[in-house]
Amino acid sequence: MKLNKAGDSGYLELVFGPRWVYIATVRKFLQNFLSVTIGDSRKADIISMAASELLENAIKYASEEGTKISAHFREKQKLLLLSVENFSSSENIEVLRKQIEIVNAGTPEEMYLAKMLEAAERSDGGSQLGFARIRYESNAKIDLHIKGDLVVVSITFDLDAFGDK
Amino acid sequence: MNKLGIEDFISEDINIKVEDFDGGIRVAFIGDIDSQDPDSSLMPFFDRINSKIIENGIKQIELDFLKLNFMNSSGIKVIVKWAQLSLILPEHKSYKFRILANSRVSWQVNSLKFLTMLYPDLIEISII
Repeated sequence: MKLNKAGDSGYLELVFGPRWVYIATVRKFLQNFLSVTIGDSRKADIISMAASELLENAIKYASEEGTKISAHFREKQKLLLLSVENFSSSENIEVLRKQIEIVNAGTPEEMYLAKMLEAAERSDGGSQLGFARIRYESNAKIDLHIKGDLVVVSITFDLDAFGDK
Repeated sequence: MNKLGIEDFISEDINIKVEDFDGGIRVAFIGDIDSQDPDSSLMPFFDRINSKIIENGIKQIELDFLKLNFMNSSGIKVIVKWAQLSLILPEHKSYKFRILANSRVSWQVNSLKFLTMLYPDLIEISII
């Protein structure tokens, strides 16, 4: 197992069990970690919000136990790479693929507005609003990689390109 | 007890206090809204406040998020659903929202401000 991530200026990888209650714990830990790593607690807030939204999806739609979250800081490029991995069913992967495609297609403002109105029509617990929120609050694009039933959702945050609206 | 006769909402993660203030009702959120299904836990509570507001002819409600640490997107959905309850009322029964947001909390500055873009005639925001 390789423990040293050469070339990164701060990194973490964490694998945890599928229970919903861990999300808040991971979010708070990540917020602290990022505040120290990138030295900006407001941006750390937004990135940890994004992580929390991705973890909610991962846990809600997981087909197997285990969710992995990674954060890598590339100081020279002022980039923060966040990714969340889990196993899911082909049906859920297809829903995820479509959601990410839709949210990446329009401007962050348009998509957040449209998804908010759409969410308000839903009477189940979900909102399908998380990706649109992440895009609006961070200006970042969301990428999806699928390897069989392993799903990796990743976001590259350009730390010079977002902040309070 | 407030003038609506509604008791506070108390759970492990979130306390919601309903308080009187001059000219309206203040609903103060303390904690986190990050459960898997805030729709089923919070919407019945907001429905009850909505009914009592109409019954008492109240025109202004203040949503105080200053002590809310985090709200997930399912929680944001519930706030939008509540706003829509007022939106569909005839004018003489409708009421307006004033959001108090914490300037030190980034998601509040971004996402709560966005609610005012969604319904500019219904929701206003003060960032403190």
